[in-house]
Amino acid sequence: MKNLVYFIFLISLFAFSQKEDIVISGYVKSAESGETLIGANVVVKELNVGCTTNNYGFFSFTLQKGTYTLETSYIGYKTKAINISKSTDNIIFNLNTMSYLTDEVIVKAKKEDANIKNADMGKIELEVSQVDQIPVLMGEKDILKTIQLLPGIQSGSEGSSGFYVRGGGPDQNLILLDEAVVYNASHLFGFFSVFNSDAINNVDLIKGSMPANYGGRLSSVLDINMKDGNNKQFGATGGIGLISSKITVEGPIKKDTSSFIISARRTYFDIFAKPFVDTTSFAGSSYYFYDLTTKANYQITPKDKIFLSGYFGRDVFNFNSDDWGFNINMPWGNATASLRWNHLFNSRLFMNTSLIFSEYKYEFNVSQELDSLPTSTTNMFSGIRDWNLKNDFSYYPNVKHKIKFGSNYTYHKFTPTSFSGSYDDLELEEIINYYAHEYGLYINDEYNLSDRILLNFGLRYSGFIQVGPFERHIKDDSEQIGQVSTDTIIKYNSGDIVETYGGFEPRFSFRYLINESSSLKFGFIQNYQYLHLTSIASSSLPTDVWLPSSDIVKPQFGRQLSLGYYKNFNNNKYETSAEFYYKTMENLVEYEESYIPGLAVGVENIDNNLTFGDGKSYGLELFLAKRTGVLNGWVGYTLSKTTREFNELNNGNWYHAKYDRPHDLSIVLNYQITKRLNLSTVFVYASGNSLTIPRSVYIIEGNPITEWGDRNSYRMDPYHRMDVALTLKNKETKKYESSWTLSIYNIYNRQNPYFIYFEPDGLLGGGDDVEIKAQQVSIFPIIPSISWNFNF
Amino acid sequence: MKNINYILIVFLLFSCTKEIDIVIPNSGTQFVVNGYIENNQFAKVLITRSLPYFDPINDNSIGESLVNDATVTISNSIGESETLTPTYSPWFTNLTDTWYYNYTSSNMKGVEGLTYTITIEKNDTLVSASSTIPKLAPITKDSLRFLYRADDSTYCYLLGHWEDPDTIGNCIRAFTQTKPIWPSTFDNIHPESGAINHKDGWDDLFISMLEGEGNYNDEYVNGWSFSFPMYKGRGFWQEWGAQETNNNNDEVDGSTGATTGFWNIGDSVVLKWSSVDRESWDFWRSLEFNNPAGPFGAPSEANSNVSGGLGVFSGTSSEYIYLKADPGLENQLSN
Repeated sequence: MKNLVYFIFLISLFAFSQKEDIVISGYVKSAESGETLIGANVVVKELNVGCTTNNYGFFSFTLQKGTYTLETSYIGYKTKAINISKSTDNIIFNLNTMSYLTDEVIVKAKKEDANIKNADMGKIELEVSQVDQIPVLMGEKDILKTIQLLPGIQSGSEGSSGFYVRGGGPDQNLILLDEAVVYNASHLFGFFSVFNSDAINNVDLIKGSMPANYGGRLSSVLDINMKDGNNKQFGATGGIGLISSKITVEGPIKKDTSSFIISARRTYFDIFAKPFVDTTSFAGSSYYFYDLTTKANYQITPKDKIFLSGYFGRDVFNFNSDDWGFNINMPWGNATASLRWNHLFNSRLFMNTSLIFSEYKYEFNVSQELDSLPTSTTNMFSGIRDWNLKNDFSYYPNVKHKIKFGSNYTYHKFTPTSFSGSYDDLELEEIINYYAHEYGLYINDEYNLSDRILLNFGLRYSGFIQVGPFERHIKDDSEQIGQVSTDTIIKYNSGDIVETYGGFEPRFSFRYLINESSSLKFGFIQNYQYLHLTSIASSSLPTDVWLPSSDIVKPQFGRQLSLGYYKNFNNNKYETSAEFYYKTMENLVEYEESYIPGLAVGVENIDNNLTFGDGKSYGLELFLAKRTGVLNGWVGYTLSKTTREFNELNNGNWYHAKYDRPHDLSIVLNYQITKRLNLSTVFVYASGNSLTIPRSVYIIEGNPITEWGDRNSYRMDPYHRMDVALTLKNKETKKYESSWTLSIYNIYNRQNPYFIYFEPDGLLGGGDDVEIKAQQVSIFPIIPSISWNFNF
Repeated sequence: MKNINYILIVFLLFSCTKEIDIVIPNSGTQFVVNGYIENNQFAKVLITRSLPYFDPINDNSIGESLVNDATVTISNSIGESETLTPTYSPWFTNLTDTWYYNYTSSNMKGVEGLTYTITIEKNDTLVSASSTIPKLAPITKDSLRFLYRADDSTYCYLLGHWEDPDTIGNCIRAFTQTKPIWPSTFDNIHPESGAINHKDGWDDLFISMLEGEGNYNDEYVNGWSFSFPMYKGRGFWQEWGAQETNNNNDEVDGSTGATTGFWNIGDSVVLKWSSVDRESWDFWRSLEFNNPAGPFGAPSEANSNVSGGLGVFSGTSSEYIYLKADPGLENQLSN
């Protein structure tokens, strides 16, 4: 912390020493709603230099004395310019939107040639308003699923919003919602993401070289910014769909300076499905989810602004069996809150301080109450809770440099798998917590070396300290008869240090502009990840458990090299790129082959059952996009290989990762038929997931038992699917607009493999044959849906 | 964990399942051991080979998979050893309590506290396994009684009272053998091969208790004493919820044909209560997770204690308690 103060001091000195210059700073906003425009382009016409606004819509320039024309642009908005000849520190550009047809785009760069000119590699920016037209499952639009249509990003399985970036695991994505870490971004096993797109302003996904201000995950950053809310007037938007409805209300707290937004969503297929469910063996079960997103901001002084944002979401599953007096209640979900303070020290130095709370919780509660039996209850729960303090500075010493530096501290409390229960009058509670401090310090500079060369280099130091109170159970491997679990416990008291980890994480990227329409980029990144998600299943489950690095679990360590060539054609109308990456990962975790889930919950450390290994991934990503015009869209293709090596799994041999996808193709097309009618379509093709299949069968006490074969040695059939959507806008009135969207998911009704299981058919002992059959389950056939969205 | 499968409901409404063909590379067969040595009993071991996964399994294929010409020896921790005698004979004549065997000891009987090792040699193959017979943690006879099923007093289930010994690590397997008031569901297994009736009217084999396949341990309840219900399990030859048949071979339905979980009032029952060592208990426990039928479990290999092969060799110490399934009786013990 001391160093940081010193650092700020130095930079301030530097700032004041350049008196000859003029310093210009300000914000870019939407004139209609006052919403911040993130990544808007601000250019000094005379010098042909520019920058983009940060996550708070802020920009800054330091220029030599003179008169300049400052022009700001943002796709979908009218360009605006002003003349500047002296230092000005609170310019607000309020941009007006363009009329509907002139600029139809799906995914847009903030600047038409941004892909060529910035140093970012593998960075994708999405405007939520632009994913509207893409056809979606059951009418529930979802940014995470849209992202999966881009090269290098893979979905886990059918309909899933869990994603895998360049061969990394699902835990290697840093998912931030207004800077708060979201630990489980999926509702219902990943079929829907937890983010209600109506409350979201924009989304950045970085799959290549993440700048040094991000840390803690190996593979990617998904940075989601919520809408600030309209600070001009009150409004509401909403939608009614087949499985859920949602509503968003926003408006000014104080006109032009402060606003709020509240957004809520709930599914109701539990109600619709009940009549069907009650006729099946699943009678008595119900499922729903809801989420609530809210944000408010307040301008205290022209230089200070605070933001308060929060998210709360729960999935709830219930099951009741009257016959057995059985009740299951299973809620899980995330809660986040962030309080942020933007402060402008001067036109060159911008600061954001955030205090963040983040929590993920899963509970499994069972109770049994029958007249003749003692009442029993069992509660299993797991979760993670963080308190996080962040300090980020953006410093703009001159037009050539953009420096970011800051610090990040998190206090983690993990409850991996714990248990409480009662039986008759007996009560039982077994909770094991892990506590840890995680911190990071970074500095990053984007340096415009020449017209052609842009460098982005950064250094991050990260550290992790596991602290007590903690009990480490040491497994007994003596020959003692019937030893159930442990005989040795190492005790750490509160404040004791159990284990310390730390290391440097250099980041580097480089852009060379070949000419105005093509560039070459190179990136390198090295990073540590101190958190691990352990999963026994093949789909994202609420029971997946987050574990810290500890005295026996080392931090994950990753390195990635990437190289890319970017070229635009026809005055940036067509955009192409080819990126190659090579990535290595160390200290990945998996459960041991003999691990039995659910056994010994709470009475031993779950990480005693882990085994450690390495991973490797490389691939080529090709992308072609047409951003504008009546017909627009993109094609993305990835050729890749992802493997894992664990000493204790698969006899120590390399094997395909579960989501190794040699081929992955996505095509998105959008056709504006008339001013009111839009047709869009998505086609995806991906190699099948890899799977462990049996080797042989043997009989134990009359039951067929499976001997499993090499890990992930079988590949399921390829996945492919086409969706279409037709959106009809109703006639707009001054106060009110609405639209109907008819979408058809999986239009040619492909039965894509979701999972394969092996089921013995027949019983031994009756003289009949028992035959084991491989059964392939497909979950989503052709699914038409309709939804109605409004806005007033 | 299993219960999570219920949540799939919403999607199972849409889902469809089809049978597919998968070609499994042939990688040879392995020796499979399914054997035990129980206190005061001879060792009984079945040695077979693993079978091709998708081939039909029936009496013939199991018969062909028997390994009858291996050299099987057993030794214990006090230096005694013996070569087991092959007892190959037609189908289902050499029954154990739960399955059958093709090797047995003729001198060595199980003793609590000793560790037993078996080795199986055939040509170049060497397979071995060890297990210790733990001290029996008994369930006392007078702590057992039958209770009526809540909604139907023609059925009952067993309630036990357990006083767990103070030392952690008691691993139990619990089974019952039943002589139903209706004809046994597994008495005359194989009429063509002239199978033998072991006990007339009784099911030939013991069945594991329903919950957790009758596998209990005292991980959470060490040193406690408490009552707990036990439900009749399902034999490998029975469908879930299968109805029993009466003397005319008609299905006994409704309130008189016991379904999975319960005994008829009047059934004769033997409770077999076995202490097993942790390593072989782990094997039995792990079978439940061996082949999950869904996306929410990863396949897991059975926790074998056999090196060089598959299966389990288990040291056990058991007691057998004869009971009459009738909550109305003052004394439900019987002979």
